Amino acid sequence: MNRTTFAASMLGALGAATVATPQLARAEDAYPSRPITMIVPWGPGGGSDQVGRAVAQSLQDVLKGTSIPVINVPGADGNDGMVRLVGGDADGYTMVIFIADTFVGNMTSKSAAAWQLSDITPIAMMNTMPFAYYLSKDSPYKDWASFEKAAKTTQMRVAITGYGSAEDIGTKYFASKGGLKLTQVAFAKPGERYAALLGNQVEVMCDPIGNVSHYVEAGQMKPICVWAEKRLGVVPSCPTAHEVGYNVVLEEWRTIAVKAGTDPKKVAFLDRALAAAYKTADFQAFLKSSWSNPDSYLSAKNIPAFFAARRNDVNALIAATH
Amino acid sequence: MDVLHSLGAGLLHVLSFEDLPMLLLGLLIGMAVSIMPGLGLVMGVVLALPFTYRMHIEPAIILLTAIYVSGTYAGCFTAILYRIPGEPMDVPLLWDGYSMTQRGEAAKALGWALVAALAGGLISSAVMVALAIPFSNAALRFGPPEYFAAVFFGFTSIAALAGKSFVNAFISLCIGLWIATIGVDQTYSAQRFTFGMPVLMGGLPYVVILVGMYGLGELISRLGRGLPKIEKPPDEQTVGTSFPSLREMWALRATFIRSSILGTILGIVPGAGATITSFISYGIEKQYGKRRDQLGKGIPEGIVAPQIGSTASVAGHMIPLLTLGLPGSGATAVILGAFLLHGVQPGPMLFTSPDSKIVVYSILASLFVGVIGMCLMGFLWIKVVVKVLEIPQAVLVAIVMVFCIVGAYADRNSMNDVWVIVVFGLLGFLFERFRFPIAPMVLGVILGPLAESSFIQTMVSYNNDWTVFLRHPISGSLIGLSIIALAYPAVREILGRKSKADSIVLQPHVGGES
Repeated sequence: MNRTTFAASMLGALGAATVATPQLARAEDAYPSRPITMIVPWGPGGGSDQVGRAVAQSLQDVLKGTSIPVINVPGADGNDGMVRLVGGDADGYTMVIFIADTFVGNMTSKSAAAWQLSDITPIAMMNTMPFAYYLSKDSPYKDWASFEKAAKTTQMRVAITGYGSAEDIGTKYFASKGGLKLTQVAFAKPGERYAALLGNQVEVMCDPIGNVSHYVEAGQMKPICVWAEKRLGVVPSCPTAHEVGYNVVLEEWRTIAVKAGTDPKKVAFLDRALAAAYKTADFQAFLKSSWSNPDSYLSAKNIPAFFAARRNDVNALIAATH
Repeated sequence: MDVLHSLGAGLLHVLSFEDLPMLLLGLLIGMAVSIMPGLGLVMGVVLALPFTYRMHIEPAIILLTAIYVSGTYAGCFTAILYRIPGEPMDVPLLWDGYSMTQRGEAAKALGWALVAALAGGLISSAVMVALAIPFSNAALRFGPPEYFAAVFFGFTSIAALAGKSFVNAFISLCIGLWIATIGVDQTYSAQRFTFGMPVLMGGLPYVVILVGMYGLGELISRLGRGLPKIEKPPDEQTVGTSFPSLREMWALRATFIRSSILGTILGIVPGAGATITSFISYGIEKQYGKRRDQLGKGIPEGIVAPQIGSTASVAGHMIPLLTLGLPGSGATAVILGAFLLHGVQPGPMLFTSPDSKIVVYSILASLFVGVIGMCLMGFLWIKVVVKVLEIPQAVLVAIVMVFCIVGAYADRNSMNDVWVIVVFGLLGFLFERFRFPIAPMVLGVILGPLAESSFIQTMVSYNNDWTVFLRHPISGSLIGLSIIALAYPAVREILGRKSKADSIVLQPHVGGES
């Protein structure tokens, strides 16, 4: 992939040199005229990182000549990366992958959040997939029922990405509804989280299903309860939360956003470009291999209503937690 | 067998069109920077980092690793020939190496250094390959308490190894840990020491801090000292290498084995960089060597021990980096940065998927090729390589200064980082001026966040029961070693008073390298 990036940026440089030279006066109008950085506010190797890189790759193919370097800015539940975006210029040259965890974290943050939802302009929904609980292959429990039974009397550690995230809110609901003894342990880096489950540092892990698809396929992790409306075709034997008596539907979703105040023309340009990127064969193949919902896409104008609906879901879940 | 098979596949990758040129380039850069006084191998790795952004991960890591490994070797040329240590780790080579040169045995001294680098490099690489899989299996059992204990051990050992400057090293470490807390905290998103400045919210990038402290700081202090023209020795000796005979090497077998084991093991300890390893190897030779009385008067043991120690530490350092994602030195921290830039998190998971496994084994294989390659280059091109010394210092300082600042900017295309590097450059200068070791501070910055998050994870997982650090076997042993490391300077002080004559020089000024 990086060789392609390199080739693309070389082509971009050549293109810029040949096209832009006679039109120096117009250089300000041409957008994009330099690389657009994609901030992934999560560690490398995780689901958001994979999505960020897949989007960057497809967007790069669509924009032909603009390279989209990806940088990881993990920390504080995605807040560090968001702060990086918000602290920069609204010039349309920095994008961020803004996801459900950060959204929920921003909603639930007790202290004043370092940034507000109004500080960003979402452009496109690129990927959605439900959360699920997983056991490691060496776990003494074999399914949700046996885990739930044990969790009523035994303290269980749950690996989550961070406090105030969707996983955290959902897990609190499970603990409250079922009278389960669950302790959330935050592992911001996906690699650490997976190693914690596989190394039996925690009893159970909560993560979006697609992030760990290859561990599930390899039999190293076993999904025991998926927070979706209906069972997933990829893991048909795994029950939904609803089936096991918990009224929770929570999805991980990932949008691409820029800083609020970015020129509407640039936003419209990126809106079109991301729609095209979503349709590329490469991105479609990525959605399939990452177990994402096949109809994930939403354009810029539909996202505010989606955010409002998710806000209601989360508030309802918090209200149902005692 | 599986390991050898993977290593073979890795070797094929290394010899490919894509990787081999990077390996050779890395070896050359490593030699150049380690010969030039004031430029260390950490600087070489740091300066090369921005150029790897657009590369594929494998050649990128191989380039940086090659700089690292050859950086531990080439400094011996100038140390032995001209009494100019290219790096702090080469200082022990002066004592015996230059003494041999004065007796007209320069070629022999260089031959010993070459054999030592080759032996140390190959033995430790082999040990590393053998340990990689067991280590990564053990690493899966590394939970938060074990990670915290490992980092804690690194902190205590780097302070303890500073010897007489223990207090300064400790202060330096604390400053590093404090800097690591700046920004929005990882677990609870609290703002710390940000003073409401958006620049500080995301924390300070450690690569930029590294460049500032090691690079800019050293350049500023050199400017302060003036830029002396390096004078070559009056008698232009024939620069060449003559190898020791097998019988001579056999006589030194104990030194070879002792130093190789010591170098690899010390390399695994986070914080004990090539410099410390080199000094300790020399120190151990001085205490236990067969000809310890003659050490310092120009005997081969005095070259072999530190050279093996510093080269062997490279492979040792790669083990915790690849299996735990734990960088124990400045150079490995930069290599970790390169991994992350390519979207790969080093750790036990690297060994679970075939794609990343081949990358790991290519890196391991590149160490063998790199060690052999650097020795060949050292043998064939030594005359060319030492010409680097003839570059006027003023020009060199100016070029490096530009590279530092451009490198800081290129890391994230951020002007803020340029100011960060300037601030840390000045801090580095002050550290040097007031004899505070830089390495502990940098290690604090790099490992501080990991120490904090693993500590909090432990507290949450085990209901705030801190005794878990002592109860788990791995973390308990590491904490035990840490306590020994902390107590060691005090004990040595007491013993030292009793028999001052026996005390050995074990205080490297750990400034230029970690």
